[in-house]
Amino acid sequence: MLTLKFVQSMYLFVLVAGAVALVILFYLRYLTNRAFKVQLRMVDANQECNYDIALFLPKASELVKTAEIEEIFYDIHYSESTVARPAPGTRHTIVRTITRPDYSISLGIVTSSPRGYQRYIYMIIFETLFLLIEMDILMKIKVANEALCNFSKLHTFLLHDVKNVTQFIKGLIYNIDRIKGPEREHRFIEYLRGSAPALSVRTDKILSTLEIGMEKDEEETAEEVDIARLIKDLFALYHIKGEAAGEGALPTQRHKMVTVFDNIIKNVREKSAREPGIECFSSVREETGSLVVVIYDTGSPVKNIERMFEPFYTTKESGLGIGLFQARHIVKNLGGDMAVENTGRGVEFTVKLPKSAKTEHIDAAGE
Amino acid sequence: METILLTEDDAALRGQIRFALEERFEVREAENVLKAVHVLNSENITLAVLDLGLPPHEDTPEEGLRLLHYILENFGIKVIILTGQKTETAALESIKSGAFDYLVKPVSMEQLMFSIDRAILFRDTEQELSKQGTAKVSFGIEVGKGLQPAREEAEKNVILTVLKNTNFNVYKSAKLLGVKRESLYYFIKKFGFKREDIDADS
Repeated sequence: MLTLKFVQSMYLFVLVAGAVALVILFYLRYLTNRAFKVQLRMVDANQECNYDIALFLPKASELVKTAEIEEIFYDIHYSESTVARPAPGTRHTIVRTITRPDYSISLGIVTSSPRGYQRYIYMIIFETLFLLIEMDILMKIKVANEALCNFSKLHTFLLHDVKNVTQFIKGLIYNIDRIKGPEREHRFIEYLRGSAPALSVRTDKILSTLEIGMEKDEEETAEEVDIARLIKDLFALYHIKGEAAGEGALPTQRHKMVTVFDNIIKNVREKSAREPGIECFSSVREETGSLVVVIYDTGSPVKNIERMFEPFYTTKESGLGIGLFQARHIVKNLGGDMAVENTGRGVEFTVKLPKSAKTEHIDAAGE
Repeated sequence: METILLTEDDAALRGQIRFALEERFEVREAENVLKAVHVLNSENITLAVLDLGLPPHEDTPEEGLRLLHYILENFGIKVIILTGQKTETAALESIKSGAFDYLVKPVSMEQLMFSIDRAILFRDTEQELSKQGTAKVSFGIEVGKGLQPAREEAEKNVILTVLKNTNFNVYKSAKLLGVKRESLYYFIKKFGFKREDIDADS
């Protein structure tokens, strides 16, 4: 009886307490949902701003207001750049500062009531914002470092050849002034004749490197290039053991073909320095509308062969990772294809060059 | 007549330098380290002009530096570096190793000729001084660590040079150095010189 009376008297209280608890629960759920929405919007905004914190932070300032964060302030330094918004001087702030060798971040928020559950909500948003800023900076530093590194590799790649050509010209000028007598004259011409193939390969390489990433030059004149002959010449130039077989020519720019096959054959030459005695074989054949060139060496297989054409990827300690990327870039630009694989007989390059594309171009030029 | 070893991987450039040099000198060519070593061991080379960027690593100085060390350790001839490698490290390493000159491409041929003439002059003068009993000893020290390490390094190098020249004959070496044999034994023990090491070096 007593229990029943107690339950009857507490009934209303239980109902009110339950209702209050529900209201609180819904309120907390509302706050949490709002915080998650702000987080997601910040992630989207960061992406829209292309991960540029100078663009992202003003947007983030607006977004956080939804979660009752009145203001954000920051002082960020990275890669010679500074992004700053001064602190407003109010009492309710949350601030965090980190200093790393390449960057420093000082981020703060001004909150309306920094107590209780609301404080956890602020912290969730604050930490997300901090993480996004740090991620953007790290990404920017990484991209900049990689670009600088790659630029430096390209620079080194070109500089070696340009310096040699310049030195050659200096030598040539010096020698021309000093040729005395027919014997020396004859000898000089012999040297020049001997120099021509190497000089031609080097200048072609410089030209093709400078053309990486440039639009196709439709005005460039095509000539009939004997690919089989070119490969034989490169075999001779680099003292490659093996055999260059087949026949085939196509109308194209000679310097581009020199660069493509020079890079493949030079790769074999470098390999033969590490693996003495390896041989190299090539074949040139015509297929419907294309010229197919297969070049393979008898050396060891290459690890991660699928990455061989990746720009700036190299397995050699001193390699720059430009040559094969450049070769495939040229072939693709001509509408062809270039592949490499480890086969039972060795590392095999297959270059497929269309014959028709440039023929059309010549026809068009002739009209 | 001087016989110059020209090590350069670029055939066209090698031809031009060769043409310029062969007016006054005998010239032997090498396009890589292996060929250069072969020429050095089969011919009486008196001076070397060396490119640092050699195959298979044309874009770094490592192959050239390897050859430089080999030449200096085994032949003791003057080496002029003619390279496109403008890195401070390569220049520092070359000079530290004992290269006579470091020329960065592109350089005028007059400059190269001038450098060769100076190298010949230095070598001849050193040989003349050596005949008179004055040996040129070079060594590297860290300035700022006091004079004691420099003194020890100088002593070590002088004794080593004389021991090498006398084929580790302690009696002759002591006489040449003007010290007692006991003192020379003391230095040999102090610096840890061994006959087999010196024989292997020479």
